Amino acid sequence: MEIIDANVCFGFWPQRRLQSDLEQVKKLAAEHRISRMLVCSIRGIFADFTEGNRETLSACWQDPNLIPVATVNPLRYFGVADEIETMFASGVKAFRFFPQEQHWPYEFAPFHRVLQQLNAHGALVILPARVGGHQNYGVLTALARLAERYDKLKFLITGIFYGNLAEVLVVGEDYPNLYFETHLLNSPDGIEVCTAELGADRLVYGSQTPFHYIASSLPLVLAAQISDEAKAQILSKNILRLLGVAS
Amino acid sequence: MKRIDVHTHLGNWMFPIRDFEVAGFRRTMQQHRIEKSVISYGPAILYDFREGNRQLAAILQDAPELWGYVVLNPHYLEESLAEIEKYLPDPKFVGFKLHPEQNQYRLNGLNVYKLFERITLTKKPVLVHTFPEQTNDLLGVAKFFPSVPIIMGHMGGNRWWEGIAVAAQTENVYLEPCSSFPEADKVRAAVEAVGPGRVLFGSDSNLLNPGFTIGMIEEANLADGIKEQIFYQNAKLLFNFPA
Repeated sequence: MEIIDANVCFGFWPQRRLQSDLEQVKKLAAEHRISRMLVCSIRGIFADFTEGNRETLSACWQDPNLIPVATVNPLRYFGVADEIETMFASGVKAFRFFPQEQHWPYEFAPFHRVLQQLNAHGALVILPARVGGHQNYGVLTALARLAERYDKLKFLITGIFYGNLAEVLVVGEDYPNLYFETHLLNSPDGIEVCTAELGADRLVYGSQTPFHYIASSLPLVLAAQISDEAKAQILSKNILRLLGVAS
Repeated sequence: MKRIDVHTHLGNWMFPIRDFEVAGFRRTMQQHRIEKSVISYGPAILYDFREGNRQLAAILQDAPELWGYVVLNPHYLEESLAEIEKYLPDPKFVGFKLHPEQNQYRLNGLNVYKLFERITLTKKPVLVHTFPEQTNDLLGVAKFFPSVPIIMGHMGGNRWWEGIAVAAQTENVYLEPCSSFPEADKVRAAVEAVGPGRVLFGSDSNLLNPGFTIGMIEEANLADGIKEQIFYQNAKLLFNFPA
């Protein structure tokens, strides 16, 4: 069964000591039999997103098992729209955002401008639910409003866990363009509950490598009491469908 | 590799989890090769600690693999002291549990110190939910009561590096890493800071899937002997469990 990791970054992490270079990331993935990864350069989070996206594309051109995820920082304003068009022209289909690290809220006009532009292309947008602290209830409700407003986008939400699971189930039921990444889905039957309530076609495996342990997240999917077909959807088929990539 | 889980719960939570029954908890233990679980009863933390302790006591009597913490609430000092006396003769209760976040108190409060004065005489460990913050307050308690083994539940949570630093300043604080913050390297950092003898496996089951924390320890690049200490031997010694 193929495993694709939809949540991977690489580069230098300035906020604590971490071995996070691309080779280390690839080594970790290989240890867990992860065959393909959606990758995004850390440089694009903290420094220059243009340079970061070039780094991402370069890595992906050299390794066909890497799928590029671009990022822009809405705070910068200048160059954001052009960079998005450049990324689409380069074949990028997924865009990821880092509001926690960049200190901007979801209800933020420059971000909405970005989403308007992406909406015209129908991209995959990867956003974190884990912003604003541990008990951050309401974030998913805010993300649901984005899903309603930008209905040509597909949103892949990271950081769902036991605490926000009720919100996941409700907004997931109401907004079919919301999808959920599983790295933090740590309640005893979280995979099973989401599969039963929303369907396995709404879940996507990701690990948050190199920040989190792959061994914390992957066994929860592999050992879940769901069908093999449901596991295959979560581990690879769904993300390929969202990206429009042939398996 | 068999395991002792030093941080577990029974009872209902307010989250969308389907199975809160004891039978399901036991199945989860078997699935993850957990030989013993030490439990603080969820409703004792969330509501009336006396009622919850009583309910847990009834469950423990028929369950050789299940052990208990007596939940205390410093807002109710006399009642908490009475709970200590009540359950001291019960061999199934092997420690005490404090949850300052849920019950809204600081660990530097006078009543906390009064409870620790009594706990010192019992020679039993205390599992302290230590997140968010409060690691420095825990340091004060640990220094003041150096003979009480204190398990730092969640290891400081999202500020785990502070939790590790605090434990490293003591001889009696044990680190227990379960949480929704599975940052890579934190388990190894804990072992390097306090040594393999003061890191414990706890899962937060039945709130969290034990596999989540087991994965953190399995992927920490530790020798098998150290993992065995963390998963089993350290807890066996700390709680004086029979072989």
